[in-house]
Amino acid sequence: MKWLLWREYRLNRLILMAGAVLLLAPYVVGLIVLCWAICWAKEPPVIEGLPYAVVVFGAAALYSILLSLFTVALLGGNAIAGERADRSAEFMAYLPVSRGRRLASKLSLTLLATASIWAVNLLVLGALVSLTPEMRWSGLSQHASSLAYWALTSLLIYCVSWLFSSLQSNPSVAICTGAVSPLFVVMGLQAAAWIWSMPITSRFLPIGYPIASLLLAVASFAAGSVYYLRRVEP
Amino acid sequence: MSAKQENEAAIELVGLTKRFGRTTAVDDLSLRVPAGSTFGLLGPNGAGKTTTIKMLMGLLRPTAGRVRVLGAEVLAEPLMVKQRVGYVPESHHLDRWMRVGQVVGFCRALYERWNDQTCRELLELFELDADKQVKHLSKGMLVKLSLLLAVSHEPDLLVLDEPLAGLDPLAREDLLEGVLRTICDRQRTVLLSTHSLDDVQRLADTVGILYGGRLLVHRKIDELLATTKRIRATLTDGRPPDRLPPNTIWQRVQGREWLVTVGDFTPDTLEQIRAQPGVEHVEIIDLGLEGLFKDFIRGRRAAS
Amino acid sequence: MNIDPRSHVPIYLQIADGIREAVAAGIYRPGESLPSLRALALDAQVNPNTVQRAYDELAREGLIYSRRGMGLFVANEGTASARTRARHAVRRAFEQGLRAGAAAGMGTEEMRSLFEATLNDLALAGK
Repeated sequence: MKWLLWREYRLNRLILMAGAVLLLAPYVVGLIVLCWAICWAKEPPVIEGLPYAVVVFGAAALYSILLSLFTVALLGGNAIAGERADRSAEFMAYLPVSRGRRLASKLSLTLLATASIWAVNLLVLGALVSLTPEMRWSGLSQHASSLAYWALTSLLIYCVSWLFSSLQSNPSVAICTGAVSPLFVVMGLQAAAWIWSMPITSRFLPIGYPIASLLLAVASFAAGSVYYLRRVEP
Repeated sequence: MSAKQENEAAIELVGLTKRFGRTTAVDDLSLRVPAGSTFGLLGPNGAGKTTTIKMLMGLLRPTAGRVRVLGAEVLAEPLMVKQRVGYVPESHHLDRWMRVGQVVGFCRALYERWNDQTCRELLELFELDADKQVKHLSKGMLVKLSLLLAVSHEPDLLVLDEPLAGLDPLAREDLLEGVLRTICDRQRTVLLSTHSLDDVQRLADTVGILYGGRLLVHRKIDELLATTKRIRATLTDGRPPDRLPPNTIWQRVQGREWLVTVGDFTPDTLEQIRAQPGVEHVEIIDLGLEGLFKDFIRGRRAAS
Repeated sequence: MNIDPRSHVPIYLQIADGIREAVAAGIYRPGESLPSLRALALDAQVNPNTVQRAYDELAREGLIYSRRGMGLFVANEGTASARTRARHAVRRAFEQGLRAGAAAGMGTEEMRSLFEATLNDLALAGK
């Protein structure tokens, strides 16, 4: 419902602005680097058979995706705890709007923001690939799968931040816990590998990480949502 | 009004209890507020008024007991209750960045029944500036805005938690007028929680005194004032009688002066006291609500 | 109309007294309509039920009567009746004073001279 979504937008405005900065900063840096290369070097270098510009902007897109992991932690951590921190949740609590609708509007905002970030970066990458058809994109599937890993990590961070946002009223705690969760998953997998004496890097991690993070993400999100929906206090 | 409507309680609390760890904030509270009445919940700070009201509004889960508002279990049908109940809380936490006009628009979109005319009239009466941000509103204006939001959606029950506390005299008058308008326009049920006796006497027809989480008395104000009397007598040897009058609320012996406050006072009670040995010069003193309130509290304190 | 919630006189009686005084002073004349429940409730800042009780009391005394759909009006004998009630009220006040004097052990003569002294003082003060 429009008013709810508007309120969610206003509550997260600062975070959305930060997210926009994090999205665009790598491109700005890339632009500066490119300009410098053009101004100083007579001929821009060719790297691995690809034009300089393609490499620079490709890297910028990847860095932008990396930075979006932090944006996603901010969005998740602030989603529910933010209202409790400024106590406006107490105002919402006695209005005739269900927790379900409030949850939906929070998720809508996050989805819109995240989709926009990924859309921009994927479009850039897609454009770069299509602009250089003559080059051999040897590791294309590898690049695609690493993008998938980042997407999954993004999901994990959001869901864990969401859970901790739902459980308590300090957004910073939720943000940090979410941001750190991928490391914990890796640590957990490492420990499991040692316990069962498996070779971690070559096979266990590439399979174990997606499964573990997906499970943890789904479980965190479900638990956080159910708790929020059923809790009586604001 | 049909018999069913007359008997239907706007609020029904049965054995309501709330414990926070070791502290019992509300202790086995049972209360029935009939539709159409104005009920004053009176009690000192910390008596459990706000906790009770929060449970009434579905903002707090009771430890035990049942809460029914307008015929519905509050925790089972929270949305229905919130649609039909107007609530003015003790502390206001509207989004500070919202402007008055935006707050009104926001709430208007959520309620099924919204009276634009009432809203406009109150905006004018309270002199609220639609462009002002909530964070720039004084306490008086915040309360007035809360009342406006509570009343504009035509609630069947209006719940006010200490609405007049900390207001300057002009804001008080504005708010009293706002509350009275809503009492006058439709025979709504109003529950007013306060420690101000003046406001209870002005606005309420029934009063309940809450202390230590317990309801000490629940009566129509006129009845309470008429049937509760304080007796002053001289004790010839400074000792009060062994048998206290029935329904004694509080007593005090100071030298030869004996003060005893009695509920459900009848001429028989007076005769009984006069008949006691060692009791002379029995005099009846009329108590105002303030004196009555203090005696109830003092009596309870002495008993526990 | 100013109501004192702290007074031991019930609020509805204070309102009734206020109306009676207004009628006795000629503010409301016989045949004229009285303020509506809502108007008086808002003016006195009290619950309209209390105003209703006050009006019921006055109607019982015969000071006012109600016309269905049109409101409440001052009865034709209203002014005289108000003055009679005022007399009763003053007599009640005198009785209370005299009882207090008797309880304090004052004699009739003492009370009489005290009354006259009070009356003289008030006259001097220009009432």
